[in-house]
Amino acid sequence: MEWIKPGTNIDFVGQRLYFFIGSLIAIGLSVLSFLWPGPNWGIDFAGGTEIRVRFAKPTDIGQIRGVVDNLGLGETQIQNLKPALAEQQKENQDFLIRVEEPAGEEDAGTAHAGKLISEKLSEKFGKDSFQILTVNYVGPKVGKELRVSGVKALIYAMLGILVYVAFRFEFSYALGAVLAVFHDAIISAGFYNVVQREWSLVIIAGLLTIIGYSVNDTIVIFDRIRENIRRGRRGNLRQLINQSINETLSRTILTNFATFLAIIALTIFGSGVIRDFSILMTFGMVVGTYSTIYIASSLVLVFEDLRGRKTGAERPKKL
Amino acid sequence: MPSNLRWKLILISALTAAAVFLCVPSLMWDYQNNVSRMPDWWRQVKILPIRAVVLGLDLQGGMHLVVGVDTEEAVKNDLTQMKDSIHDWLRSEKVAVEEIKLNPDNQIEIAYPDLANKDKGREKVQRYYGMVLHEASSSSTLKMIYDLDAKQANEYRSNAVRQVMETLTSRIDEFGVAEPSIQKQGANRIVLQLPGIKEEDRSRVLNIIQRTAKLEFMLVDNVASTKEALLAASGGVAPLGKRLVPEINDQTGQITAWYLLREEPKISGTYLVDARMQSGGRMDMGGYDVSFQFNLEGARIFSRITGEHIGQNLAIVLEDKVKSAPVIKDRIFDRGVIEGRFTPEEASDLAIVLRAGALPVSIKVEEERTVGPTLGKDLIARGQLGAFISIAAVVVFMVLYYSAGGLIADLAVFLNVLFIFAALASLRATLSLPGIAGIALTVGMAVDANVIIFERMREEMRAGKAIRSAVDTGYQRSLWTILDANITTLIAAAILFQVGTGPVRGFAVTLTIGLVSSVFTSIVFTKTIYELLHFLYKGKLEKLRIGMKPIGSN
Repeated sequence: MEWIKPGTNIDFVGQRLYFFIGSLIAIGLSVLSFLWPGPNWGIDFAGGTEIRVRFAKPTDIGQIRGVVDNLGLGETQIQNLKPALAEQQKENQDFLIRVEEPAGEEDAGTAHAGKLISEKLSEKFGKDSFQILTVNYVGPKVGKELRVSGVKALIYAMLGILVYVAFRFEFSYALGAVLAVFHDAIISAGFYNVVQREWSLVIIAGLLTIIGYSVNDTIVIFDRIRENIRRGRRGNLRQLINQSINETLSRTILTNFATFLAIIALTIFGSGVIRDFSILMTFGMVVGTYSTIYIASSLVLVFEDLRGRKTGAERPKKL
Repeated sequence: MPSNLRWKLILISALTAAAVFLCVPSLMWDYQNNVSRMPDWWRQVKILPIRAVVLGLDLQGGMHLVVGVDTEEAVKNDLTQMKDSIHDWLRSEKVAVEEIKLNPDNQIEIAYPDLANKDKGREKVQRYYGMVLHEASSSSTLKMIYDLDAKQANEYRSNAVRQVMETLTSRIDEFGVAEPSIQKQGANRIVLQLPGIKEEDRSRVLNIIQRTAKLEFMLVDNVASTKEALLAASGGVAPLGKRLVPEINDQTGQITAWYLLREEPKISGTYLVDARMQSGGRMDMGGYDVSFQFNLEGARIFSRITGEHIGQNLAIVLEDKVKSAPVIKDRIFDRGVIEGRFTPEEASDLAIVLRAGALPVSIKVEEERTVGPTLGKDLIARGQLGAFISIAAVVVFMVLYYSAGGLIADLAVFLNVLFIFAALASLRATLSLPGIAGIALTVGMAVDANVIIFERMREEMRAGKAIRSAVDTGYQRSLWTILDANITTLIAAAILFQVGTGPVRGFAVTLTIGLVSSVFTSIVFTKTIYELLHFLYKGKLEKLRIGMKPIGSN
């Protein structure tokens, strides 16, 4: 098979202005998505108690709500967890009960809400009619720290990439690569806000993975640009960049398609956090591939221009 | 066969065999009961591996707790002690002191009646206590204010954390948890990983961990049903050297009485050597009691106090609540009973915490993640299914796109997965649910290197190169591309490992291992296979199929 025919020559760089504008709009919208509809913070970041219960028989969510709402635990949410594809259990058996951390009652703590809910449920439904599958409690202090460390992780990752790429290539390349992955991370986050799935620690892991994969693709193109310059191919920097993107296009598409296949399978068959992770990754892979082809290398050209390098000259300076 | 190729084959076979060996214990591990099913003869041969891949608590089921230690309380406690000790010492040195107190800023304030006493006291305090004079105290005032040395304060804090850790470790041991892990995190946190805790034990464990288990025996001065009645004589506040303590009904949680207790003489639970639950002594009450035993020193103090105060009431105060206050009928030496109409679990848990000792400061559970065993099993099954299907999808795609070449890449993928499991087992790394997703993703990375190589080979072949040289150039030119690409991804994985905890860290581990081993399998392994094929076809490997039409045949 050969999806991308040899000799393909699409002018990716020439259209850069349109793609820059499109990406800027997407970034702007993603930033706005943190205000509206706003991120759906899970307990990892918001703090609170989350209990997952499985009933032996299908149970009405209203009945459970009746029990939990009268405990005076502050804001509670009950969610009916739909069984994922090919999952054994039937509908209306798994529920997620989430209790917000009541403001000012720091000491109420984990034993309090968790114990109270399981006691009251067994009073109402009988002790053997349900099982507590998981209990998660994150105190307000920890939640805040996790948020900070998540943002730090993303910043450190980008700094690390900046340094490595600057060392292996040049500063313009490093900046192009980092801005491209920043673009990927923020747009993926915006997408995640729009679909309103829950932010958890695994989502931070997902964003870092998106960054890792996207920069991987970008490096492959940079490498080809360097090789083409070294081998003294004809053309100015703009032409060489475009040529390099085209030459590696097949690889970019194929690799991402293969990883995409893996992610899609996880999206369909995974459950819980794995599914959230895979949904984010599916989108992130697409954005990552886009930025690799349309944004990263074009940015290099822009930065080289800004730094006063003669990008129009034949035979650019060797890297 | 060229010796170069022979050595590569030997290296690869040896690594593969080692990886298979390392994986055997995991295949033979009984994850239900967490025991190895390896035969005895295997275990007797010491060099054979017996470590299995450790499942994270999210898959295995168990409790993950992050406990915050109130280190400021520790500083305060130690300062109070220091203040008392300074006071005693100045008194014994005949230095007159008007007032000595600990202010809310953790400073010790000493007020002297005159300058002569101040100079004397100041010299003594300076020399024997590592206190730092606060700048506010000038030479003309009679009041001296001392700050605690920052280094000293940090020592108090870390001591408190260490003591809490020791106490929690022995409590968990006494409760009986298989392979718990208790570690310090940051300056004032302790992480407890307790695998295999059953649902019904969850709240007991939380209880055992969080209670201070402070036990005191104090003489009763007065009892009343309300606070006000008790304090009427002393003007609404507890008189000096006395403490107000409530008695609480365990069933209803109501305060049943207030006790005014004497601070001195007092004996605390630190002298306990043993505590056991026993069935209730009093017939009418039912339930269980906890009996205890003092060590020699404790027995000496206890018998002196009880001997001197026969006929008075001695209150047993547990965690600042009066449990009971029986009349001392006779001198008691080293044994006693805490009566409380406990359930068997309550009595056994109380015995555990008393044996393990009191916590020096209060602690708080700041994070809890408990996974029941049922969900873990579900998740493993679904995680395996998802990972299996995603790997299968990639493998099939590679063969469809690159035909025979894809097959070789797929072999590399299998080898990669094998290496990941072998590395997980031998490094004692933890496999978490996100970790399983990480393995599936690594497969994407593993084929990536081969895609880079194949695409390069196709280019070279289109340029008219012979297969052998196309393969060589393909590998040669792709090497640094692959390394650069993987190193940048490794940077992200390493940061994830640093920042993440629990399952997320498990993901970072599998991703990192997978990246490293994929570089090996996709470069060294597949190259060797090509060389082997080349050798087997005696240099006539003309039709290597990497899924494109042979050049010039259309």
